[in-house]
Amino acid sequence: MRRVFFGFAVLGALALFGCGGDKGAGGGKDELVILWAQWQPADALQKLVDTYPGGIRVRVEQVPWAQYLDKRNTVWAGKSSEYDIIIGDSQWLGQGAEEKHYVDLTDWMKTAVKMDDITPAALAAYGEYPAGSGKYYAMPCESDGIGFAYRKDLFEDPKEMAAFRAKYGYDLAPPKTWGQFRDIAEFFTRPDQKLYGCALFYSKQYDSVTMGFEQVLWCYGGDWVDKNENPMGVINSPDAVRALEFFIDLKKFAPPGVVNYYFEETKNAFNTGQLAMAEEWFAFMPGINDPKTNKFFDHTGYFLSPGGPKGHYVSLGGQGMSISSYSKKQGEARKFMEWFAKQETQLAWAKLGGYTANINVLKSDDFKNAAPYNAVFSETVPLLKDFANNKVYQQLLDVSQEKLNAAVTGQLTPKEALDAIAQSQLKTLTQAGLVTSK
Amino acid sequence: MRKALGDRAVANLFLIPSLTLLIAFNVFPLFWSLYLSFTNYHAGSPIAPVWVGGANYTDLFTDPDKWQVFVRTARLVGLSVFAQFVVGFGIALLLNRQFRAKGLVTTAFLLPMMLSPVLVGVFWRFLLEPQWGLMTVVYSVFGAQYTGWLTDPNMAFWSLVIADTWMWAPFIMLVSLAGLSSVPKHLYEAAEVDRASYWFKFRYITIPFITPLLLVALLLRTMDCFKFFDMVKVMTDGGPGAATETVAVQLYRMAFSRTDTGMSCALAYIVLVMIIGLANVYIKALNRARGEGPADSRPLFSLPDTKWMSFVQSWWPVGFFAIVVIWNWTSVLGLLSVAASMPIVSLSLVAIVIVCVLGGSVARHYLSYVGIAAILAIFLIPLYWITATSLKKQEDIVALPPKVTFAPTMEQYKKLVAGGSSGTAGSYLRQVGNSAIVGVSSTILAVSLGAMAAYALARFRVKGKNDWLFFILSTRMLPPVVVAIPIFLMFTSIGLRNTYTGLSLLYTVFNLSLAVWLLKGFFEEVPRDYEDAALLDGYSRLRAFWHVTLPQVLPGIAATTIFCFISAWNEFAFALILMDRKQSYTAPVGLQGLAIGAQGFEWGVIAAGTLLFLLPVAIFTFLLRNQLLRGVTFGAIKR
Repeated sequence: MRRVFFGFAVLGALALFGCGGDKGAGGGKDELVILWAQWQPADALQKLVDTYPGGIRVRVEQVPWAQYLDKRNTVWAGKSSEYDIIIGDSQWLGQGAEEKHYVDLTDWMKTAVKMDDITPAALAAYGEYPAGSGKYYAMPCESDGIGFAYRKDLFEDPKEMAAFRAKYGYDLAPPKTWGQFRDIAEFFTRPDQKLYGCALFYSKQYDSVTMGFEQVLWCYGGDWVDKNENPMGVINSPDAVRALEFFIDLKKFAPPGVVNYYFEETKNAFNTGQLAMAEEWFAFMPGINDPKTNKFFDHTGYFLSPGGPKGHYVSLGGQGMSISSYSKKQGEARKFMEWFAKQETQLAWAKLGGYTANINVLKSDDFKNAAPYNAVFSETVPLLKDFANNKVYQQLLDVSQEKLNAAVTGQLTPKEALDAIAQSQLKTLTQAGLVTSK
Repeated sequence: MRKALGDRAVANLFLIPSLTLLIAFNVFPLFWSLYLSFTNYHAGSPIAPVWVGGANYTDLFTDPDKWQVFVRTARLVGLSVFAQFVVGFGIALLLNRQFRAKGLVTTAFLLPMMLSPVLVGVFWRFLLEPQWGLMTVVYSVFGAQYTGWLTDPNMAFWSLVIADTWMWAPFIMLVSLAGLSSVPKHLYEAAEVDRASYWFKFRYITIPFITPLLLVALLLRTMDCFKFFDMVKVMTDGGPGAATETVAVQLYRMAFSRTDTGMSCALAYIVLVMIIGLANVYIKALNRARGEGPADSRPLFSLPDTKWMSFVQSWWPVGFFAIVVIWNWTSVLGLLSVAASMPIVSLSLVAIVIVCVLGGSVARHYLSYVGIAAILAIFLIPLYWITATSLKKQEDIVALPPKVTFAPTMEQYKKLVAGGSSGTAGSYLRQVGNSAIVGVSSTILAVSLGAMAAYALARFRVKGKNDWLFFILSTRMLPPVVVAIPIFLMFTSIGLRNTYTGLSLLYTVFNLSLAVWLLKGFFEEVPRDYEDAALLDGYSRLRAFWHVTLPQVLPGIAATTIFCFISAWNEFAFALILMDRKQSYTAPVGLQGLAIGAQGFEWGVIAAGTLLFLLPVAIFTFLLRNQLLRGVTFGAIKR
């Protein structure tokens, strides 16, 4: 009888171990697993890989954006063989290569992939590390950059056009410069009508405010670091401070709460008719180009991210496709990627809405007509520029996110924020041995 | 005939499994992370840890931003716990009377604490959305406009306090209610014969009687609040700027976003040392409250019998209040200015409180029902909004202005079961199944092991008993993030990652200390004589335990089961870190992932999932509500 109590405990243990043998689902031996974020391009990729003729099932495991980076970190730290292919953000390349989480693809790519068919800029941004070394750890998968959506019905309304001309002395049209962008944003800001001029990326989430700010920074002639990778006096230069002041000033023309906006929020605000102009990654544009979600689907146009007083750059997003060092199916993964790189596959990818880096496909009318913003995307590609992609990029990003967001919310002045970033990033880069001279 | 086990053997048998588990999952990882804290190491990097001595500690101590983080965390803990105390105790005072549907009302108040903290965070973000969130509606009803809930640095901080209070004031309420109902009625009757005022009875009977219990509840909340993570992570992610960056969020960021393992272990150790300090105070207070302290110590709050001490004894809540308010003066002013923009509501709340305190007994009697109704409404509005959202069409959810009336539809529930609108979110039912497997098995294990250990500690002379108790409790105090990295590495190397077994064992360990401490109080309440009588009748120790003692503590076991189950069912951080695939996610992880899904914020689907996920716990709690009330006295009140 006294065993009854132990029975109770044993029951618990049984319940535990009885199901313990089940190591979650999946992990099948005959399937190739791709790790990517959860969004429409991943749905499209799943459709594409369903047609893979290589005799093995390919599954795209979509991890929510909110958990994407953390999940990748646990995969790397745990050397998990759950995933064979990782589609990783461009900034991840340095850490992936230096810590050997990604397989070196240099020799294989030269034989298996037609390298000349890939846009050189995309190949460098998504695959090459260190820059200019000719060593490749990834193949471009989804190219991406920042663009803008705007409300054609507002921009093309004769009354609005006349009023705008009277006020600013030039014609209302999609802005070419940040100066014009500011004027138009100001013009359309009418809180009483629940209409605001623009919404940019200001939030502390992931890389939001950094991506939103850095393209303005470059347009204003600033940069993160100099040639020696030294941020001091560069990211806190007068140009950079002016850029941040301007960037923050645009907040005036945005809906309340914009300091927490990233791609989802700008899209939502635009689709519900609160914005004249919305910042968005091209890869998320399908969510705007959708009559089911966008009330103004028929009146939506797209334009190239504006240029600044001293240059014209656009923040680069997007991901390359890498083979995980911990995969037990690297051979199969190579075969799959060889198929993926083929021109006809890339064309099919583009038709499904994917952003290919294949030169011939990009030039084709098939691509340009596949979506209303694709022509703008083609213009954007040569202007793309990336945040640091070295092995300590996450530390650099963390501090820029926190300090820039603090400046945006008025807790630091632009100068204070940039000084703090310079100081902290200098320390990080020095400790990592990346600053070559002071 | 088999020989019955001796007491020593039983004690060992009962204690060793729990202690082994705790040592394996706490002490071993702790030593590992102590070593790592002196190294420069990035988990996952092929470069082995490099010994750097105290460099990590020096870095942390010289970084002014880190000091800010500690100060901020202390403020957050102070304010949240204080607010929970005031609100929770207030509700308990109102509820401490007989009326119809009391069980239902009490359970309704408890609903927030049964939710998963991470989902509460997701929802409060939704409620505080500046454009179409609930708060905007409420404000616009009163003709005011305020949108800075999560975007104004000061207000974002308060929003966290408010959300945490909404979630955990019910816990304080529950404990207070248990305490209030245990005050012997004859004391009040005697006071009434002497025509004592309400205030007098409250001050000289109620307060002294329940102080030890409230202290326990406060300290439990303080420890949990120190670990405040899930909610902050999803509500503000430490922003705007660093305005809500707490220690736990920083730790997570360092450990899992940057994989700066060495540095994060050092920070974890600093936290640990602080918490051990806190634990010491706690144990001392608890022992005194229970009269178990060293022989020379007297009951708490009647230490030296001087004028000064009795002054402290009478006025400590006021002093506590003053310190909290003065410390946060500018911030409180900011909050008040926001509250002032909605004068009708704030004034009527203040009026209710004033009448309750000063009014005559008849006025108080009726007003207390008004008060219960009003506060219950405030507590349930967020839940109503979740329910409403789960029944709305997608367009209605983000409609501007927000829709209070709408045509209900099951669309969101269908989407939920189908795996989000794109169908790629993974199967919700499967995830609930995972949660159930892990939640149920870990609860059974924690309660049964905990009961054994508690019995052994309550009944037998165990060498170093107080040290063991302290050790067991300290495992409860340490923020899980402290051991997260070593546990992650350990699980990886022994193949427990991605297994239900691993997650269950982990939750068992997290709950074990609570189980031991709760149940120990109950076993102590069972008179030794019962068992001695059984032993005389020829029962073995084990049989006596099973047939005589265990039935006496069933209410305690029920209460413990509820607490363990709620925390295992709702856990988020470790489930996120340890489970790689969507099919093996638990429901909180899966639902949080929907917050930014393929089709934008899937608020409707999250709402539907949250409600369905709440249902089993709510029913379970409602059925066991009476046991729960008796069970949360923590044995701090001797009957």
